[in-house]
Amino acid sequence: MSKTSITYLEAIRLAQQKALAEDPRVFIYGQDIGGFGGAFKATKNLAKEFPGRVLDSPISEDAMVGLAIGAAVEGMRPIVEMQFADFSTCGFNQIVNQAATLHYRTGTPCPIVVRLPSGGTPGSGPFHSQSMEAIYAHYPGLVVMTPATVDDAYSMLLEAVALDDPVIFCEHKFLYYHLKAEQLPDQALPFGKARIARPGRDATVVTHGAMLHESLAAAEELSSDGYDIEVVDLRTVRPLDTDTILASVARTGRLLAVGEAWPWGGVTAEVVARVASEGFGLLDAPPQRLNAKETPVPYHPALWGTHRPTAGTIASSLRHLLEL
Amino acid sequence: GEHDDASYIPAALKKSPLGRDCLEIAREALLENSWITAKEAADWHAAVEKEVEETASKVLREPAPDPSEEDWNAFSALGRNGEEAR
Repeated sequence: MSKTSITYLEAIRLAQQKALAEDPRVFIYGQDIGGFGGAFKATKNLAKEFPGRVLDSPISEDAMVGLAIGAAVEGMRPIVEMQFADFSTCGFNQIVNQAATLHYRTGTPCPIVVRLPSGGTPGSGPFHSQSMEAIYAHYPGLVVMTPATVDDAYSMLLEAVALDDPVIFCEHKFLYYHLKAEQLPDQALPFGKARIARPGRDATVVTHGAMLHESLAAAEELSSDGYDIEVVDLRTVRPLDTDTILASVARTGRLLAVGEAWPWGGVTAEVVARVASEGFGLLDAPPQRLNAKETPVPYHPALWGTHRPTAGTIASSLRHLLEL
Repeated sequence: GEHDDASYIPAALKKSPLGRDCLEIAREALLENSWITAKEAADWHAAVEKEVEETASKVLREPAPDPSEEDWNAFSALGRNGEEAR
């Protein structure tokens, strides 16, 4: 594998290149992804390398997903690129009413991947910052992936293309450029398995996406106080790897679920519910969670930096948890 | 090229009323039907331009928002959790 420094974004581009090269059924469909290479350049030069298989779509998310579902029914394996996760709401009907239900209704698989450039970056505001994994995870029939590392961005996208079920691939924009790896992975964890990103004994943080890195920084901060925090990277939020979460809580007795999205009915709520109902006896303290504030994502960087959890606020929540 | 150069839209459609600036089309219709005068159209344009420039100028002079003073409430008539009245 390449020894040059590979960004999270480049890993996504390289995974698509590999998928296109290895499977003639794969094509990519999205707005400005052909000659322009996509809003973030996740498909740069792929249209030239794979003529007729990296296609510009009209500005209609509804039409984009509908076309992909039809192609999948006919045996293709389309990847749909949304310019921003927020815009996928315009294709919501096709995703949740058609793609998610297709196999249950007809016995026909629906192997599509919908890539959602997700999450907040400074100055992006309410329409270009949303974390929509909980909304899609609500629907039976949809797989929801939230890669937090360069390795996972690459290997999980290839895994998503190979799956026979529709996958919502929540790639985090905040990680696109600054998260780097020396090489692409040769191996990957099994599908649906969470990862112990940092072992510990005093408390468990369960998180995903960009919040993994804030959580690891918080754990590092608390290590100077003598606390040993375990951090679990969910990797996929549906399926949710409850076994790994419960095993971690069994070791530590304390849970903090951290998410960038709003708390109401979200991934952190699901994690807390599962631990409370299936692992109540493992807990030494009430399970806690930390999410974004319950307003639209603010434009101004000063507000945005306070709106979502940070290493500092995660560390504060952990100190509170450790005192309960 | 541009972020979205609309290359997938046929040239004839772009040149038709559907492909043109809707504000410009509306201005032409108002003038052609004599519903407004050219002076009124120009005055409206100048008034809007002035309002936009004044607002932008005001905002650029304002201090950055302070997260500690933000009410963090998305509701207009309810409390943060949507239950209690303000």
